[in-house]
Amino acid sequence: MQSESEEVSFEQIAIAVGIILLALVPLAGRHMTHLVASALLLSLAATSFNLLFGYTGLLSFGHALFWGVGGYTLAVMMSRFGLGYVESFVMAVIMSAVFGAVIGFLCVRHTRIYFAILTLAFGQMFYGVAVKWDFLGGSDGIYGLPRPFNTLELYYYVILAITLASLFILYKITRSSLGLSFMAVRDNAFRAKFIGLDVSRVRLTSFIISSIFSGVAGALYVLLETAISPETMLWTHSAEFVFVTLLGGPRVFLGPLVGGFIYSFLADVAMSATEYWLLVIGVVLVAIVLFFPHGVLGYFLKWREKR
Amino acid sequence: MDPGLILVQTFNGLVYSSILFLVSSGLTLIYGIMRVLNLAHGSLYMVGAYLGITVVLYLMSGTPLGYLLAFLAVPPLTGLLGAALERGLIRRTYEMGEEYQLLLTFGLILIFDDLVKMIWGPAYINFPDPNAFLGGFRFGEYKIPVYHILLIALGFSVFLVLWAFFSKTFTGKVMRAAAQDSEVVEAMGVDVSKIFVYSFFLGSLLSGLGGISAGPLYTASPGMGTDIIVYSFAVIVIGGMGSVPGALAGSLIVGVFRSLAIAFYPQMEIVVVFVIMALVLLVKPTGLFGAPEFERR
Amino acid sequence: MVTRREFLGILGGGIAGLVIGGALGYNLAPKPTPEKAKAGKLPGVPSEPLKIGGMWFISGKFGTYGDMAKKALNMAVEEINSSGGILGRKVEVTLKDEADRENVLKNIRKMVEEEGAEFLIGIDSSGDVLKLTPVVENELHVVTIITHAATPKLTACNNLHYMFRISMYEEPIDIAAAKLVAEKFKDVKKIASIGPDYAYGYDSWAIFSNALKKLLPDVTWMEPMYSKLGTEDFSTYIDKMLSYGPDLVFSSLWGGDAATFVKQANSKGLFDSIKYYLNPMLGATDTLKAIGDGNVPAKAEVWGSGRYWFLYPPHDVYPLNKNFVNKFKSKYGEYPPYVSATSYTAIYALKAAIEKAYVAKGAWPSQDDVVAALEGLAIAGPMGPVAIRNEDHQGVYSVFWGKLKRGAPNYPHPILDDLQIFDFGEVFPAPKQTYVKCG
Repeated sequence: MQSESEEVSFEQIAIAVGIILLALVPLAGRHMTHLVASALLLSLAATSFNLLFGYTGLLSFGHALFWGVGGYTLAVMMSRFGLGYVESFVMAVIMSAVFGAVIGFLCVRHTRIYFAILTLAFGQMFYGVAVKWDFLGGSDGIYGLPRPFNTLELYYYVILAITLASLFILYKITRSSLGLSFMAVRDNAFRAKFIGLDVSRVRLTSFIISSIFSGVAGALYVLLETAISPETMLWTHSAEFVFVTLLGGPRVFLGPLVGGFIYSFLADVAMSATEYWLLVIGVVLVAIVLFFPHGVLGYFLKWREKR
Repeated sequence: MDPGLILVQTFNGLVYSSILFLVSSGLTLIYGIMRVLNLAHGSLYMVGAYLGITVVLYLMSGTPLGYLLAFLAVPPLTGLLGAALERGLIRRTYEMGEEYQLLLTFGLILIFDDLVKMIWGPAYINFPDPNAFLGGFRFGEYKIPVYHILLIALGFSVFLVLWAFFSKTFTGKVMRAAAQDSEVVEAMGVDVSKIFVYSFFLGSLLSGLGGISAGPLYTASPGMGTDIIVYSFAVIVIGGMGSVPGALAGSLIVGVFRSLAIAFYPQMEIVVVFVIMALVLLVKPTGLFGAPEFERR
Repeated sequence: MVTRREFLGILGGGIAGLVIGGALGYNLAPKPTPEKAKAGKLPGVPSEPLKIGGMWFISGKFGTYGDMAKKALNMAVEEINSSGGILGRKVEVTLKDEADRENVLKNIRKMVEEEGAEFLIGIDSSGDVLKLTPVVENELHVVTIITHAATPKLTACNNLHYMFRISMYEEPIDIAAAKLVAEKFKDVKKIASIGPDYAYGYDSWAIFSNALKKLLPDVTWMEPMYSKLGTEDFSTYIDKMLSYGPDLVFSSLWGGDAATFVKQANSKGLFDSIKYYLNPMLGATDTLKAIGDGNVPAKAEVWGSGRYWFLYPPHDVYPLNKNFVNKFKSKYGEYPPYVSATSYTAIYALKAAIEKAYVAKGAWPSQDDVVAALEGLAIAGPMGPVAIRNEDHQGVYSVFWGKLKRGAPNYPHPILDDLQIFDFGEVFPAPKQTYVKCG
């Protein structure tokens, strides 16, 4: 997304082709639809995580918490309060923002490893709450939620539309003055302060926006899976967001999207191929860090620049 | 509340604290010297337990001699494994951000879990109980196993040894200096890369010692390193990252609070440790014994 | 409780029923020979292999359950395929890892929607089985046979159509435990309990305590304790029990937790001060192997039950179990744990149902045909004759409780001795009845 020219760029063509392909996915069968839908949501969560990480310089190791907040809110609103899809979804967004604001307020005073561990602690804490609290279904979670329209295909288009819209909003944010302030804080918090930015407030803003879209992804995922359980908030799920982002490339807006798709398909294939599928993922992780630290998309763009 | 029960539960907490201390002192030591948070530290704990099983159960069929042998042989082996990881993999990430170290070592967790499953099988394995030959003491209606007493003694001895090592020996002092400022130490003619290997060796040795110490109490299974690593984070965050006395304080707090929570407020068991951890971070971000937080980038 | 002689009568009746039923069914069925099968000669039977999707924990702490299931499945599939498959169709089983916690339902859907699984078997976790129920019943519409998850809610609180459970569930075992206590351990005054900290642990305690309160109303109970699944250190729980001073401890811990607890209870002296220890999940060879002979307490009586015990029904009167055990032992070098027996039986139940339905229809049966054939089906499994109840789709067979005894020199682990058999009529609640609250 580096090109600023007026002409139709390679990136624009690639994105257009990508969207057309995504729209055609239901033709490829139910499983492919399901797989792409979950890849889209993982990508959305990772992209929102990356707003905080790649753009603002804060590594959250507990971001699955917000996925869980979005998901649980939607599930609770539907199954306990009998609200409709739209109302429940709106509540999920609001709750994600509220949680993001409160937890963000407590976390953004810290940076680097302290921030990572504090977010991890909050994630584990709320995992513990979800396991223990009957209202949230305890360890069984909440299940048996009806999917909108009762068909996977139609719901897929809902996911696709909301994900694309969310990505567009996130992209606009990164290109706005707000996005620039994120990057200023990331690159040099001291200088950012000097030029008059309220560093904590900038970080908190990024944290809240990031939580909201992770919550959106979690809420949409609940209706795809038709269930939610406390494990969705465990730190290992948060690590997946980090993994996906670095896999695709944290310094490119679409990096997490590419990473999300690669990861989803890799896990899908590896599990069918071997019972040691986690080993495969582990090896890929190690290889990424050692050989492709800029992510797949990062390398691709570099390679294109060179040509 | 029964004072005998409180006493005995505090003792139980101390046993758990000792194991936590063995593991978390290694974690904090590596972090303190190299600023690497090794997520796979818990995997070395697991490997320590499994190597211990091999020696105690498979080679020496549960004899006291087997235990002695395992305690002597296993920790250096996990130390070597840790040093090999540093040399082969982790070293290559020092120039990158810490997210890459976290990710690399997270990948190692997945690899170790499956490797252990391949080598030792997916079934959980139980150590023969050392208290069968060690016995225990009566304390009212309770019984205090000798092995538990030995574990507490081991935890405190390791603390004293580490303290003596870092304050009395030359290598220890250099390692501490490297923790303060590795560039200055390097300028003084010390081979910092050697210091890094040493600290990984020592840290991983401690984690393996934790594994072989805890193994006889528990059951070994693939994935057993995940819980201990999360609790160890809590410990070193509470105590102050990079501080060995902090790890001791953190282990005592986490071990005892968790034990008392189970005994008197069981609903709090999972949450209590993370609440303490979050509170400490919010009130005194550097932990009880930590140096001030600094920005490196 | 029934004696061994009465048991033989029950078993004999069950077997006779099976033989008659089997004779009726099988004689009518055209006998598929291997040659015919290859040529796909049976009219109305597709020629492509029959795919069955299975899900168990494969990786992580509970990976041993997937391993056990896989071993038994391999055995069953080899046996079936070498004698012509199911109506001439070769059987293939694909496995998915239940430990991929965020994607349990996605992976189930994948097996059905992409990999073409026509039937599903497996599921270890009660939570997962409850989540799966609406998906199978309302969306996937494939016959699913549960082989491990034990929550009463599955069969008692749902109106199942496509789902069945072949494995014993927790309620009959816990009711049998109450009967065992009331009949054999009448001197019990104070009871303490521990269980895993999730639905299974809570339900187990509710069933056992409610059943026993009716039989022995004067017993006093300690507030039940629950430990996180995968707890390493039980010292705190054990000392809390000791401070209460019970004479019986009821524990629903399972797997590695059950083994760890027994070891720690031994070294912390719990078994010196209590008389009885009951664990409905202890009679599992994986757990007994981990406990080891050295941890069988000298003083207290330790009693265990389970979904299947490899020495029951006795090998001399029930050759099917003998053959299963011997074959498993020679193939894998260990005695079969319960997940192996239930998974093995699940495949054979499917085979029997498909063949029965084929006889009725003359063409490869639809899912609804297989459902109809499974309802009321009696099948001989290693655990004895299993009848699948019409009303709630629950497999029904007798419950055992046995006393832990050092196994040497014949067995590499402790075994259950002094087996007490409870006929299913005594301990199974009527269909749709349970001590557990639905919803």
